Amino acid sequence: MIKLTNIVKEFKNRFGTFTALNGVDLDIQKGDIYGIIGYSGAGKSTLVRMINLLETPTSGEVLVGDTHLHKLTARDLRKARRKIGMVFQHFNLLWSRTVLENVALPLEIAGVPKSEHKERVNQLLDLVGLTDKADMYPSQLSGGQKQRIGIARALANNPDVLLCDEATSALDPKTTDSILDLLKDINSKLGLTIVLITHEMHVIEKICDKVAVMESGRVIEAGEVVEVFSHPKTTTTKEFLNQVSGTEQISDEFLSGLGEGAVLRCTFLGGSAGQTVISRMITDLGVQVNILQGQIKRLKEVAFGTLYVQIQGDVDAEAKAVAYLKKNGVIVNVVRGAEGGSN
Amino acid sequence: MEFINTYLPNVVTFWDYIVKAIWETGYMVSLSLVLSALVGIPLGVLLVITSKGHLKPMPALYQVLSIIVNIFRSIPYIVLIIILIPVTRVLINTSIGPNAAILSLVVGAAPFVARLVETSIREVDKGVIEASQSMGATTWQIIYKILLPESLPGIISGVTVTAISLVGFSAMAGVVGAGGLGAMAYNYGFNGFKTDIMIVTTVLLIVMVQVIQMIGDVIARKLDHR
Ligand SMILES: Nc1ncnc2c1ncn2[C@@H]1O[C@H](COP(=O)(O)OP(=O)(O)OP(=O)(O)O)[C@@H](O)[C@H]1O
Ligand SMILES: [Mg+2]
Repeated sequence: MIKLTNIVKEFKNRFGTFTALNGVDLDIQKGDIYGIIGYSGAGKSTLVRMINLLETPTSGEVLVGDTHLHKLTARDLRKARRKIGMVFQHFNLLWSRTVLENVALPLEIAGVPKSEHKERVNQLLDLVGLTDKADMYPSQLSGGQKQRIGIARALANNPDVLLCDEATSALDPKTTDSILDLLKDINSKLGLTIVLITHEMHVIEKICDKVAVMESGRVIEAGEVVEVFSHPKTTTTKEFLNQVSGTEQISDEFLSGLGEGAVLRCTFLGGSAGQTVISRMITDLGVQVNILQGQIKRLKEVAFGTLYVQIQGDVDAEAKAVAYLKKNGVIVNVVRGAEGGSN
Repeated sequence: MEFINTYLPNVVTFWDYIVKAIWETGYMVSLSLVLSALVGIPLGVLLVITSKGHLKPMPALYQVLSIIVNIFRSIPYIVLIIILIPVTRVLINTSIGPNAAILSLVVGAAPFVARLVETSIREVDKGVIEASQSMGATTWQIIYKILLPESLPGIISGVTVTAISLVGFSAMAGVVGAGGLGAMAYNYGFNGFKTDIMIVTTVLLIVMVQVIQMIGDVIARKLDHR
């Protein structure tokens, strides 16, 4: 559906050249919800703006559907853009127009006969759940409602692709979730391809099928969300994973108050479903396990997170437990060894 | 009545002239305002879109327009009237009367409108322009569907300020033969030692300015849904 090949983008100013994108390849299939995550300045916005050519590449190819956008005339490009909706962090609604008129704007631009606007707009408002707000002005709406209008507007001309540049970054967590649910709903209802930019793992975890991690103008990891995050290769990816898995430490005070037995920190990264490993270990090894503290999160069907457990028993029990966990793909750190312990 | 007859004797005697002067001023201000807006608004739009990093960057054209606007804005109005007398004569065969003042009023006010419009349009959120580009809008569509409607309250305020300046300018033009309240104040009031006429015409000019400001504010507020 969308194929970017070796995209380079340089910004020139009087001080020199800044390379915002440095040879990016991206392959997005029809119907995907594709997340692009990265820190501020990584080049995410620049990249997503390549897909509708709001930003022209210094070199490289932009293929959307079967159209090479960068080869189109200005006129054909405008036409092609009607099939690529875009949603913005700050909504970018026209305050001079009512909700209805805002959503009708892309129809006006595309030259859809005026008599058809009302019906189409009502369909769209229905889709985003704001039919009752048609005659209000954007300034009378909440952030979440504004973004729903932004989404309705982006969908007006039945696009094949929806680009979202930090669509939820200006919203509170609850509103973020409702917007993400809406996007997911649209994706399944309309079979629309969604490209979504964010710096929040939560967004990726909640709705994306595929993900690309960006850093300094490059895609450093890309693929199925589960794949990428169950085997993170780079520090950046691991850091993003920590956003959702939690990295809290166990306090020394708490440790010293504990009874005998080894204390282990088990880190689950995909692959192993945490709780089952622990409970299987209890039956397989016949050890007593105390779960002290931790957080297990699910990313799609994969569990990941950190658990602090206390293994009742001596050094033997500890060694067996550590071996068992490691065999099952858990990363184990011994926080405190058992009495007469090995470390 | 007693009071008016006692204190404003000349106003009573010359009332018909005063009424005529009100109409002349109203005519000069409104016609030159409409013409200034017709010239100034497109000029303001051009000043924005041809500037660096905007819709149609054309640095050379922008510089030329900008310099022309600055030149006309820096010429004192009284000088502008004198410079334009020959041109007016060629155009309408006379250099006196309300019509003769229109040209200099427009030449003086249009660049002013252009700058005010330019400032208002520059305040339109870049994101909104970008959104319309992402929908495939043409430059022309962006101008009349985005830039002008989104900056309309600002433009209205600018036009209001211009109208008020035009009241002042037209009074000045009156002194050199254009008629209107300014001429009345000067010819009858000042030169003719009829102080009451000077006072009344001045009060009328003040009332006119107040009314214009009020109308402008009401319209701008009505249009502003921010
Ligand atoms: N028009 C421009 N001129 C010069 N430099 C630019 C321009 N646009 C972007 N950049 C630079 O390119 C880099 C990438 O910018 P971009 O907006 O794509 O980052 P981002 O990943 O979207 O960051 P954020 O999360 O803050 O939105 C930044 O260092 C930015 O300063
Ligand atoms: Mg960005």
